Amino acid sequence: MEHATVTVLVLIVIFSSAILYKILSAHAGKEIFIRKIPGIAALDEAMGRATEMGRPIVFSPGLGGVGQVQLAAIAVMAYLAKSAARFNTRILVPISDPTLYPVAAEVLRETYHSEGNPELYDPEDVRFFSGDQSVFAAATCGMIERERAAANFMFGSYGFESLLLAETGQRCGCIQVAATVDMFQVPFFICTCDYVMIGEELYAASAYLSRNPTYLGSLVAQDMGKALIMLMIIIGVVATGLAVHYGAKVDFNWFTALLGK
Amino acid sequence: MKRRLIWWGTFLGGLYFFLEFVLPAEFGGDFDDHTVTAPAVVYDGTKFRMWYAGYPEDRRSYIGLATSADGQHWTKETPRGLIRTSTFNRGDYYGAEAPCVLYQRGIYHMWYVGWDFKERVHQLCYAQSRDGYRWEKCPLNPVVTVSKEPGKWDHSAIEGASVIWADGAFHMWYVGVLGSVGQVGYAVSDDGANWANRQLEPVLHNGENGSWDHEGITAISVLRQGDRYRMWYLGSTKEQLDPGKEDQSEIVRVGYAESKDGYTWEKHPGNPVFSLSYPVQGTGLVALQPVVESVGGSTEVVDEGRYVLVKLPKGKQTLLTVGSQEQAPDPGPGCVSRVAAWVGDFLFASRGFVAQFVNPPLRNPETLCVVKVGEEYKLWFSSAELGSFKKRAGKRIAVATSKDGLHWQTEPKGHAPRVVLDLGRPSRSTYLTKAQSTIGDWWNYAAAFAVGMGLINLSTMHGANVRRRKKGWGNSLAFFVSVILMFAVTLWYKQWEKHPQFITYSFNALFWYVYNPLGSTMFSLLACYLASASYRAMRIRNFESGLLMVSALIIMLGQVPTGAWFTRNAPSYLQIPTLAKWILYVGGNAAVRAVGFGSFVGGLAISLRIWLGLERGAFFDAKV
Repeated sequence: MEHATVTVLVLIVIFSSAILYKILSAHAGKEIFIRKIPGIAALDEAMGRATEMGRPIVFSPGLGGVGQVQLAAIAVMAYLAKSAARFNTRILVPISDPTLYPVAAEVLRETYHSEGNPELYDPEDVRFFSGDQSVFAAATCGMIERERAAANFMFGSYGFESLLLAETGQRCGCIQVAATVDMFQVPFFICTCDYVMIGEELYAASAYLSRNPTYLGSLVAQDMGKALIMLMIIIGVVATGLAVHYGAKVDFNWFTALLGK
Repeated sequence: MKRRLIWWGTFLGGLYFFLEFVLPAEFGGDFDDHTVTAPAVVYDGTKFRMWYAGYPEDRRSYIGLATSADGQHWTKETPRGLIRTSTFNRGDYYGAEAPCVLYQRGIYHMWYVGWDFKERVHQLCYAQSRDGYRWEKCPLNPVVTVSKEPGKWDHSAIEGASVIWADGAFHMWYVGVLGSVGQVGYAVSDDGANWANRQLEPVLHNGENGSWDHEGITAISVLRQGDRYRMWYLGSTKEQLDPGKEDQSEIVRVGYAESKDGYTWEKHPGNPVFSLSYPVQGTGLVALQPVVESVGGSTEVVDEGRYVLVKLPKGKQTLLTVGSQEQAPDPGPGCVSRVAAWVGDFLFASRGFVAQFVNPPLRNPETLCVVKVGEEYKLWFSSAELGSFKKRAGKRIAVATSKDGLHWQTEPKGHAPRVVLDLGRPSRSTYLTKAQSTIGDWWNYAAAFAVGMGLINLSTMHGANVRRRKKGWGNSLAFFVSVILMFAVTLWYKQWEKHPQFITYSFNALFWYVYNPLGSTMFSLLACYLASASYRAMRIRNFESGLLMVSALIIMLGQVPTGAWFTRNAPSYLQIPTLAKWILYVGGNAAVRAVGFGSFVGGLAISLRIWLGLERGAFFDAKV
């Protein structure tokens, strides 16, 4: 793994401090506004549609084992599971990484149990297919078609199978919501899905759904972090432009050199 | 209690990873902790200065400086590196390596290989310095670029250069590469930055088929002595070292050539003049240079390493002259390619075997620099097989000496060449570094159990299908058959070296002719789905979608010659390939990075919450 540079270490400390500060101020009762994210608002709509049609929903946390992206996806899955438990709707969860399988299965079981509907849980609803992308794609597409899913949620990290899954869901008439941090898959999702959440909107989903002060506070801190990065970019562009313009007469390369350390 | 334990475990684990990976590498290590290579030595009569390329693990190469009084014992002067890559692309965005340094008229001139961002190739960059420490890069970098003409001998990369000052100008010989074959080109410059006077064809070609330098020339070093130019170069070829296997290994050796004018070179008839490994004719075996340690620990070295005493099975032994054309006797079956373990300079054969005439790790020199010091020639080279394997693996620098430039030897005799410039301090920052591999191993154990759980889940599900004769239960039966069959065949194939031929055929059939094609089939579905998704979604409904379509059109046309033809008469900045590159590498890249920043900050936030136990997980009303 590549080590951080001094600059990155300082930035991490700054961002972490901002996150902790905002979490504490949110807990202190400060009101925090989050704009509406259409993809998240569509979750209930999709769940309602599946309930009306009496067909299951498919929730895929994508590739990869237990990590930030997958945990954020599992958090959204738990929210859907709460709704599903209330309305007796099945959730099918195809899993690619075996280390995520017990996490997903346990979350689903516990959520049904906490909603007073433990008999809805079927161990076969959480299915480990394979770590191989092709196999996972083939199995998940088959599951979507056989089970005639009404809604297809793809939250997490994806490779080339993103288009396979999304297009299969499109052909089956599913309402589709996707969220990924992999920028190269976003165009495929945009072409095939009804709602797409890009990048950190996946992480914001848990804050949006739960309205928990900790999540809301860290979300605000994330925005502050992005503002800081934007400021650094602007300063860097100006500094480099001046460096190019004035050449060796005035040294403006200190900023770019600082970033490069 | 359980929650508290989980919290503490999560916190301590996060703290470990934070200290291990987030702290900068500079806190504990040097820029050249992974590789030290490409020496460029300048001798001013009293002091040796070596500029070399250092690679930190997973990061870009920099150029550093070391000094020495005798050329053997070096002191590194720059633990952080001297010439670092440019933050903005000036020809060396991804790496600065393979320097060549010349001291002329009070100025140090350096030509080094930079890895270009735009072209994604190695090209030559130029820098100057008054003291050898503070360098100023040339604004025209890269100064020697690859040929734009596809198929030209130097179209793929420029991999290094050697420059001398003669007759009032800089004379450069450089290694141009097409594919993987390198040849030597020639150029002249007045100022070291403008190399317009460049020969179109190579001046030194790689060898013919079957020759020792057929695979290409990889590095050069040129000196001028009197009225002649002398070039030492690395040539490579592939040879089958083990008669029992079809694999061929690359062998690199040093060759020599002379020229009177710098254009016309004559290779020495005695080439190669130096090698770290000596293939023995007739057997395909590679001799050590030259220590063989027999079982029992005694070292058998005869006549200072020029000879190798080889013990063969059944009590036979033979005396083999290293480097000569003598033919070794047929050692018999079972003797060849018995790989033993290298520990330091000695080869240990495992118990029960007589010390074998084995294929040791090939010591291929990777770069070279020749300097005349008084009446002696010194050749500094780097190789990956120097130094003890008890320590860290990586390329290091050693030196060979010669009286005439044709007959080289390394010290100590009878052993592997001594390392004169070793790797830098490892870039680790905590005492927990040694535990890292153990922790990684335990993670693998846990993951293996998780795989088992996944298999149990699959078996349970498919078993239920078969038991209840659900619709499609035949597919579930096929699952069991394929899992058991693949597992049995693969285990038998991999676990035991000797197995029946039908097992090899079965494994190849199942893996290469069934599994892989099925995966490729799924991948190929993308083509159909891409077409159907695009047809359905790509409609011009508003301004944004119109902009998207125009951009897509420009990018697609920019990938084919037709796009260039359409705008052939337009200014270069308005031509479709230029616009396509700009959209992809500037506009598109900026958008990807912008989202990446957001993802990074979001990931940091969620990681911090998990680490500090603030993450409520899936239960929005209870703490984990």
